[in-house]
Amino acid sequence: MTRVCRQLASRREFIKAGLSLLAVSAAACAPAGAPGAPTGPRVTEIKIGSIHPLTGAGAFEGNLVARGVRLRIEEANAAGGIKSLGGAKINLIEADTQGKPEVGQSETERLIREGCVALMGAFHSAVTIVTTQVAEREGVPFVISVAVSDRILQRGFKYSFRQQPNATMMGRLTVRALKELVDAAGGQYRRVAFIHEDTEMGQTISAAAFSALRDAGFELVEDITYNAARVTDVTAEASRVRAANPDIILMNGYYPDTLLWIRTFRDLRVSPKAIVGVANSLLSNPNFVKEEPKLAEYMIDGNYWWNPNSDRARRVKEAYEKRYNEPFTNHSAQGYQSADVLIDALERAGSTDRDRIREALAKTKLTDIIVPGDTIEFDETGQNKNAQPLLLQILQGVVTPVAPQKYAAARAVFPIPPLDERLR
Amino acid sequence: MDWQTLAQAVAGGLLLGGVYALVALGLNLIFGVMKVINFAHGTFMMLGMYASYWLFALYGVDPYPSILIVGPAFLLVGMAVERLVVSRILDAPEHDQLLVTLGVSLFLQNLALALFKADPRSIRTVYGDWSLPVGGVVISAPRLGAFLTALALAGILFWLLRRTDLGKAMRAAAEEREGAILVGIDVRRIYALAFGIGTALVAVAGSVVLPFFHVSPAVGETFLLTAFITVVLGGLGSFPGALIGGLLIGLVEGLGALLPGSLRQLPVFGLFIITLLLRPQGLLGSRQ
Repeated sequence: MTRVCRQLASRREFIKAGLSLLAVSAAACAPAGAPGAPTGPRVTEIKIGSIHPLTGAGAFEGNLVARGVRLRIEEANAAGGIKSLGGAKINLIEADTQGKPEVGQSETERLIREGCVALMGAFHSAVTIVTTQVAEREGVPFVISVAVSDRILQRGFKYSFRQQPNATMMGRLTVRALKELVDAAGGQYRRVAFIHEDTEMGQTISAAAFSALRDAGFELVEDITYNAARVTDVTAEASRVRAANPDIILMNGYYPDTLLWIRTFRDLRVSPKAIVGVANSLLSNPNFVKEEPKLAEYMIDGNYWWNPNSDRARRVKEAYEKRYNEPFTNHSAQGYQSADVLIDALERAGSTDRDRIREALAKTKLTDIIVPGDTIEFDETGQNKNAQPLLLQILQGVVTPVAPQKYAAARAVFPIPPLDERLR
Repeated sequence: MDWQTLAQAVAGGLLLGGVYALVALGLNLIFGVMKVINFAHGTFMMLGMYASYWLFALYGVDPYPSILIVGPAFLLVGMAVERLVVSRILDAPEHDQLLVTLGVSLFLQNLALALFKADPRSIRTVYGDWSLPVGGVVISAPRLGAFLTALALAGILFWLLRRTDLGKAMRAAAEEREGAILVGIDVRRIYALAFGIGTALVAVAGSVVLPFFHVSPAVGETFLLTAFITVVLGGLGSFPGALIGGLLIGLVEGLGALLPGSLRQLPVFGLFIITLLLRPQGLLGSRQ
């Protein structure tokens, strides 16, 4: 200020300069999202962090989510960036959790140090518990791309948001839809075996499903947990399942481990009336159909998905398949939708201020969405109130929504044919 | 618990133990001869799996005949890695050796990630879903194949070490490096061969695992920790020890899977700790 004063020739000019300074600072205090009023220096680049398991356990699904995020960001940049910020482009910085909470923590800290104004991640619930905590501490908005555990949003955090359904929603939907299938088939198939991985995801999913199963009158005849990252063989566990002779096998887990289970069931000739995933990475993945077409047929999964009735979802699916030359999956759809939520918030915030972005996220009301549900709106914990999981079944090699009615494209097949018939 | 479940757990555990043994044999050979702990061992298994995967996917070569290509190819790869990297750190402190082999492992894993992406891939062979019912127990054909291959390769390795001049030279170099040099053994060549054979063994383990397991860049880690435990349990440098250790760990793990919760590996580590307390040199290791 003293230097400015010295350079000023007259008192009149001094007063003029003082007034204009006042005007600038008044503009900076203008309410968020005031149209056409860019704040502070012109923003040319907005740093957004995308943190997922790109190597190690979970890398397959983690990359799928990250590609969905990337596609939406690329689209936004190609369409002229964030308009309320003068067309500023998003600089997406990608980081790798390796599927480990401690790596997730240090990488989140790094992204924030590098100036990211918002983050997306982190696939594994156990990792997301930690990354959201770091973001909360630093006051950086964190849009959960994929991570199901209810607990993530039950800690009173202000900066975490999740558009996808949580574990309880998916557990309830799956069990309710399953009960309808069982009732329609005569109601005698009530013996359930539950298999789930043993980290945060498996714990919360199984807790949610167990209470729903009890309420729906199912009988839990076997409960098996396993370490998805280290499993090399499940022969003994599968023979426990076989000995329990369940009508229905419920499975929560990731891609390669669930595939090992399904193949071991085949080897041991385990032939239940249905194999049903709860937020399972394999049982609704088109890649599974490609790898094991006969084993994949009739598999059921209760999971997040895209809205089969949405035109935009269809366009995104095509764009994704063209961009990456691989089938569009629910993982990529969640990544895409989460990035969409964040871009909408950035537009409305009209600022790179983290608290303004948080404010905008909290007021989200998105209608043009690719996931099921009428709108995306967050409750006070940051959970999307309208998140809607679907029940999916692989029918003639295609992952097909079969419930709820509004989104169903076909009737579910239950009970499924015996194993020998399926392998023929 | 019925006897059928128990028998199935024992059978499944022993079959898996064969694979553990095969992975451990190579690790043990490299340690026994060169006194180098090879952290890249699991990574070579992963590369062996990818080699067989691509031979199958591109040329339709079944994993079993592909051993004839993968084995010799990885013998050369192992020898090259020994010459280029490992031979330079033989006299370095152990933690330096460890870091270097870990570096090789990280480099190769990331190379695989860049080349093949993180997708777990698996193959479908004609015999992939064959299984033999023995009483009430089902024996999966590809797992039995891997087990028998492991036994056969262990047999060949024992014969090589016991009955051939090369084997004698290896044992001599392992026991007394200077002495071996004095009697005219080309220890450098022996080291390269030991590393090459160890690498070939684990690559072949990768080939025979492929019909029933997926391959991804991180898959080696899944087997490596167990291989370390196997080697220490059986006795560092003891080849029958690695074989018996592998089978024992498979068996204990199979039985552990009958415990509630995900306690599959608890008895393995329990056995490991008890062994370290009561017989620190390992089951068949010699006290030095």
